[in-house]
Formats: sequence, structure tokens, C-alpha cells
Amino acid sequence: MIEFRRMAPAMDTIPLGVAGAALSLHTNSVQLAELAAEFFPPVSASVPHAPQATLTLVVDKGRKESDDGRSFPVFRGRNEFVHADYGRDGSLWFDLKARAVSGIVSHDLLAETMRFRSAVLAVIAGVLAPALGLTGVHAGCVVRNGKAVMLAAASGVGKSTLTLALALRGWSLLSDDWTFVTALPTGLQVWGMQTPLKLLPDAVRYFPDLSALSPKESLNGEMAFEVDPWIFFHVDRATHATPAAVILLERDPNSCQASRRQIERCTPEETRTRLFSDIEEQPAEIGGINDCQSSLIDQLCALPCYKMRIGGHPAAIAAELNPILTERLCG
Amino acid sequence: MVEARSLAIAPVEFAATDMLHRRVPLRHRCELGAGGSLFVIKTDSPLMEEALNALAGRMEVIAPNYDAQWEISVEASDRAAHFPDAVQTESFETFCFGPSRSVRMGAGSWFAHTPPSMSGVGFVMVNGNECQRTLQLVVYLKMVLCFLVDSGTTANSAVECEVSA
Repeated sequence: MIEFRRMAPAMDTIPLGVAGAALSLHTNSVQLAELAAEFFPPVSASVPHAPQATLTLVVDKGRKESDDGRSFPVFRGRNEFVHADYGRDGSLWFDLKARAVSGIVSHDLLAETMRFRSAVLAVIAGVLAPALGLTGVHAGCVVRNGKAVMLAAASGVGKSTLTLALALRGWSLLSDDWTFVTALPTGLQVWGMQTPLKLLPDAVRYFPDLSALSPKESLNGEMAFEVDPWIFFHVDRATHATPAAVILLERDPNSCQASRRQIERCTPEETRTRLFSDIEEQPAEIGGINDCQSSLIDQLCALPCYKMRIGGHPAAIAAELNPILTERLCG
Repeated sequence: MVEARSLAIAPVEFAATDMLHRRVPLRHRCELGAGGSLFVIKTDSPLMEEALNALAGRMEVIAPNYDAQWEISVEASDRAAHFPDAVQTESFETFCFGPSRSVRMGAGSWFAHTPPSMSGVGFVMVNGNECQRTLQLVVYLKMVLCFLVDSGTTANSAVECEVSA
């Protein structure tokens, strides 16, 4: 029988922050602690915050499991429990009611820094977020002058390419796919994670620099380029900002011509429908989270909301959007 | 008592990294009374009742006069059947997270609960033909019983277990 030891941590409790919520980390690994502190910078270096969740991560040898062809990670959950199974590379366990996360990861998984960030740390944020009062919105986000514009769309419409194209025109990139929203006493805040930018293989025609890379299998099985946008494309990074507007994007091949693209106001109801379509209903066992998520979405929908049909080169779309967003929303 | 008609176990349709599995309805309900206790399993597999009946005599080891409800989801894969025929040959790991405990078995099956409650949730990965799948469910349920007995005796003790070398 293999049993699990909650080892005496090599370091003191390490304070972390997830979109404004304080966490505490216990670990036996200096490298993991450094990666986690970089990914989840503490809420405030000077003001101690009582942790809203505890994280215990042990680094050890991988499991001795036969290679049966399964692809990992695999997530399964019910009620307040979630298990992220990394096969030979370990497991994460979530008790969302108690806001406790524990896990064991292999040295090999930790050594793959980019994969560790996206497959472990980002997963911790995504699964834990609702229990911390955060709502993940399926939207890219760019920032200027501290104000954020959220670009919401279903997968495959072009969020990531348009977000990147705007960042290449001087906007700060906060996220390209999922943006966390939280309510502070001063108002709404949006937050991003330091996760790789994910671009489908055909994005190389818009961003030729990608030809130097090879697409790899991403977390959900898709072949994609996954790059650190702040390093690879030299764009500025924003970690959080005040949301100023929401733009709903829809794909329309007939919108390749500039004359056929237009941005127009949409109703809060349209925005709510779009944003809610990608939000997972949380189990009742966690308590009150669905109401919290609904309230956050309603506050987002009270912002100026627009819709736009897009098609063609993202750089051209960004060139049109840039002055509109700057003048109307973030000037 | 089984409430629903028999259904073949359907392969998983959602991506492994989705969280949609939370919404899988558990339409089958099995009840087993043993030693004054009542165990209820809600599941999506019609094979669970047969597996449960094979363990009727073992249920009494948990505790008399104890009620528990388990929500167990069963998933099928196309892998060649691999199943141990005894508890002792199946490797497993136990974890503590917050007030809760879990056990993960070699095939990726797992069960979690919050002591002192014996109620919990789990996922079972099965493959092969119907007979093989039923046997795998039996092995799984045996593991869960062993785990719960262990939880009952160590619920309040400090977690001190060794990761194997």
C-alpha cells in the first residue's frame, strides 16, 4: 500500500494571492514555492491577509503506473470534491467547501515549468476560483490607462488573436482566454493569470514569428502554439484592472472587409446570455456561489456592452478597434 | 432496489479536462441494509447492484447502525481489461486535504469523503465486458470499504504516512 505523507514543509507558510484572494502554501520544494509565488503574487507584501484557502503541495517521485495510453490530466468531481489526476505525475485534491487543496506532483512535472504553470497552477486557480468569490469569464482582456476591455467570444472565434493584435498595438495584455472577475469595496476588478497564450496552428498566417515553433498538444487535446506572450511577442503585461467595457465577438467570414465590420451597442441581456453560456453551475454543497457569480456577471453587464462581427486579419480588426476603444472607453 | 431500466455504460463524451462530469445524472439507486446500517449508492451504472450484493457480508465491518450515501459515477474506456482479483494486488494512495480524505486506485478510480461521515463520492474507471466490469466494481467497493474503516480509526490522528521509495 502506498500512503501519502504530509511532510513537514521545508519553509514557513508562504503567502500567495489569487485575483485578490489570499492563499497560504505549504510545500517541501523551494522551486515550487518560487514558481507559485511568481504565478500567485501575494495580495500585499506589507499587510498580512488571513488566507481564504490553504494549499499543500508536495513534490516527490512519480507514480509507478503502467503506460496504458491514457492522456492526462483528467479532471473529475462531484459536490465539493474535485480530483485532478496527472497519472504518473501526481494528483491534486480539492475540497471546495473547506477551501483546501492538497496534492503531490512529480519532479518531472515541476521541471516542465510552462506545463506546470498551465496544467497545475492555472488549474488550481480555475477550480478554486468560485469558492473564493471569483468568477472566471471566457474572455480575453486588454488594458490601457488602468481600464480594461473584455473581449468575450466562444472558442474559435478569434479572441486570442485579436487580443494579441491589440497588445501589439500598445495595449497591455491581461489575458487571452479566461479572465477572473471579483468585487472589491471600490468596485469590480478583473485579473489575469500568467498562463501561456494559446493559438491554433492557423494563427501562423497572422503572426509569422510562430513559424519558428511547433504546435503541441494542449491541455484539452488540441494542437496549438503555447507561448509566453510577454516574452515571445514583447508585449506589456497587466495583472489586474478596472473593467470599462465588454465586447461580444462573433465570427463572420463576410466581415473580412472593413466596410462590413461595425461595432454596435448590445443589451445587458445579450451580454448576460453570452457570458453565462460558458460559466459552470457550481454544486449546491459549496453554498451561495451561484448567486455570487450571477451578481458579478450582472455588474459586468451594467458596463457599456458592444457586439462586433469579425473576420479576416486580426491586425486589421485591431487597427479599427484601437481608436474606438481608446476614445470611447479608455481615454 | 434498482429504480431505472438497465442501460449499457456509455463511453465518456466530454473532454477529460471539462468539468461537465459534475452534471452526469445518477439515475440508479441501490440500497443495502447490513448490521442495522443502511447504505445507499446513487450511480449511473446498472451493474452496481450486482457488485453491491457481492459485498453484503462485508458492509457490517464499517459500523453498525450507520447510514451512508455514496454517489458513484462509472466510466468505461476501450482499454483492454485489467483488473486485480484481490484487494491486496491493487495499489492505492490515500490523501488528506483539509478535513477530507480520499483514496486513489491504480486505474485512476477514486473515492472521497469528509470524516466522520461515511457518505462520499467517487469515480470508477472500468473496461472489458460486462462480467469484467462488474468484478472491477466489486474490487472498487472493497477498496472503499477498507478505506472507510481506516478513516474511521484514524480520523482524528495526525497525517503521517510515507510516500513509497
